[in-house]
Order: sequence, then C-alpha cells, then structure tokens
Amino acid sequence: MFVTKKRARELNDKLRERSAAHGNPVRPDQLPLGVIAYVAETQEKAEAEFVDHMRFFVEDGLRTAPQYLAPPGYLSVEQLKARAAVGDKLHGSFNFKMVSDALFVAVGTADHVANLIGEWGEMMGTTHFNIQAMLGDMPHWKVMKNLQLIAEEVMPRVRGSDRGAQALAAE
Amino acid sequence: MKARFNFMHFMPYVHLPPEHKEFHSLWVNFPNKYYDPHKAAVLYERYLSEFEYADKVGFDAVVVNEHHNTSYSMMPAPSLIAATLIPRVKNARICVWGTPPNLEYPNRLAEEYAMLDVLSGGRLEVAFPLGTGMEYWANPVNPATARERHRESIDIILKAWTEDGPTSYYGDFYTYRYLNPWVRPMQRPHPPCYIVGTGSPRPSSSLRNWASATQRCS
Repeated sequence: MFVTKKRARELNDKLRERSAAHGNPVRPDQLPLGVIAYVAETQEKAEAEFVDHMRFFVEDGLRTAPQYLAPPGYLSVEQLKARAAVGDKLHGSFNFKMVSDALFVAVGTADHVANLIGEWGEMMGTTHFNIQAMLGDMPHWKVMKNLQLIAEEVMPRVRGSDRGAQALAAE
Repeated sequence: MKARFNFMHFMPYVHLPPEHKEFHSLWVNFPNKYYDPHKAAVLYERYLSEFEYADKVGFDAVVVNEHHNTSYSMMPAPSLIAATLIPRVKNARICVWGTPPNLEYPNRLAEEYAMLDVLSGGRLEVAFPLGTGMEYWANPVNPATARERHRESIDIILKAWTEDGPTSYYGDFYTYRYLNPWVRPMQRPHPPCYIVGTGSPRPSSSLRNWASATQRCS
C-alpha cells in the first residue's frame, strides 16, 4: 500500500521471476495488492467526501520520526541511504494528486474505480485486491456507503472484465 | 479466475487531542494519556460492525493487522480481533496479516493461529510481516537480528503445522526440545500464508527458503 506503483510492479516481477526460477511459480491470487478505494455517485463528490480523511491518514496517522522508522540495525546501510535520499518526500505536506498518482488510490465513480482496479490487476499480474475502504477519521456512514458501493458496483464490474486474469491466462 | 476482494481495516483511534500537532510523531512515544478506553470501546464496536457489514455485502475476506504504541491502530493483538470477528463474520475468510512472528514465541503463535483456524472452521489466512521499524522501539527485540529471527520463526511455525510431533528445533534464537503443539490447524497442510512488506528486497530474497512452504499455500 505504501509502495509506489512503479516499485510495486518491479517487486512483483522480480518475485515472479525468482519463484519461477526455484520451480515454484506464483499464481495471481497469491499476490494481494493493497488499494485505497472510495466510491461515490460522481467524481467530484467522491473527492469531496474522501480527501480530508486521506489527509488525516497521511498527516496524522502516519506521522512518525525518521529515527523511529529505522532503528539501529533495522536496515542495511544501502537501504538506509536509499531511504534517506527520499526522506523529504516521505513526510511533506499532503497533496492528494501527488499521493494518488504515486500510490494505488482509486477515488471516484464506480466505473472509474473499477477501471483502475482492473488496470492495476493487469499491470501487477494479480486478481487479489486488499481494499482499504475505511481511511483515517472517516465517519461510519461513509464507510458503510463505500463498502456497499464497492460490493454492489465495483466488484461485479471488475469480475465481469477480469482483465488481469485474462491477460495472464493468455501468456 | 474470479477476482478476490478483501476489506482491510486499521482500527484507528481517531479522538486525537487538539494539541496533537505539537507532537512530531504519533508513534512510539506519543503519550498514552490521550487514550480514552471509553471512547475506544465505542470505536471497537463501530469498527467490528463495519467488518460484519463487509461480510454481508459480499467481500471475500476481512483483514486485520498489528501495530504498537500508536493511535494509528488499536490492534496490538490482532488475533483477539480475529477471535471476536469469527462469530460475526459468517462467510468471509479471516485474515490476520499479521503479527510479526519474531516478536512472539513462534510455538505460541503457531498455536494461536491454529486455534483461530479451528474456531473459524478453516477460514484463517495469515501473513508474516517483519514489522515496521517502530515496532522495535515498542518490543524488546534487537532490530539488527530481526530478519534472522523472522526467518527462523516462520520455519518453526511451518514445522509445527506440517510435521507430526513431537519433533524438535535447534536454531540460533529458538530452541525446542519438544515442538508438539496439541492444537493444529484445520486447513491442511496449513492455512494460506503470505509474506507482507513495503518494498524491501530482503523479504522476497528470503522466499527461496520457503519455496516448499509457498508451494503449499493453495
């Protein structure tokens, strides 16, 4: 969930490659993909209802100090250097567009969210989605509405297309 | 292949004090005097009802995980939440994704998960995270040996689940003269297992050690 799309794809590709080399090919359902998802009747309404809760999640839920993220010995020197190089970007001010462009964040109408999930399933070679439908300080009514819309409007659309599975089956 | 959808919840404590922005971190050393158990009790009930609803509307699985010393999550013991969910979530699979096995005695975690699998009628799935860096400030485990302990813990759990006991295990960190948990999982050879992480190449490089284990995850 906290890995960029580009990096997540590289890791999945590497994992598949290594597993296959060890004679243990990975099935699409064995690679769950974390997706933050929020659905509403229009794109504007979805963003208006959702963005502040994501801000709370990023700015307050995830707010921590670099020394806590990497206690002594937890990371190799190489990893520590790599993480320090992007440290400024980890805890800057919240920018919804930047965050949703980089991570697997699907917010909008059911069609839009289903299309994104289908597209990401295809890109990542997975049919297994771990949906974060409650985020930050989201109130109960929004969570319940979101769960219902995802279940009734998004899941059937994704299952109806299942582009990821079809692409893999064609390989 | 049918796409699978899980509902994951972090169960955050959302009643932060007005002055919380003065704190550089809401993890590790954020003062726990700001935790109100009465407000938390209301939140727990609310969050449990959200899991229950996800099951009713057709999600395939519900997912809980573990964090310590933070308002980000009220699940320092996710197996307790999973046990609470079993009678409320009737159809969905119950995923504990999960307790860092190196922060527990692995035999006890193997037993705990086996209990959940039996109690849920074989609906348990588990993940073995290394745990964020923050967890190592909250728990008395040396972060420098975290990965070695992680590997060894998973070996022990898989051995406890898949080999008839009594057996034994002699590792660098854990020694079992008699590895023989009485409660064993309902799913054979064991519940589906996942390795979860946030992009470090090291967990995936460990996977070759569990090639046979992942092969068993069907």
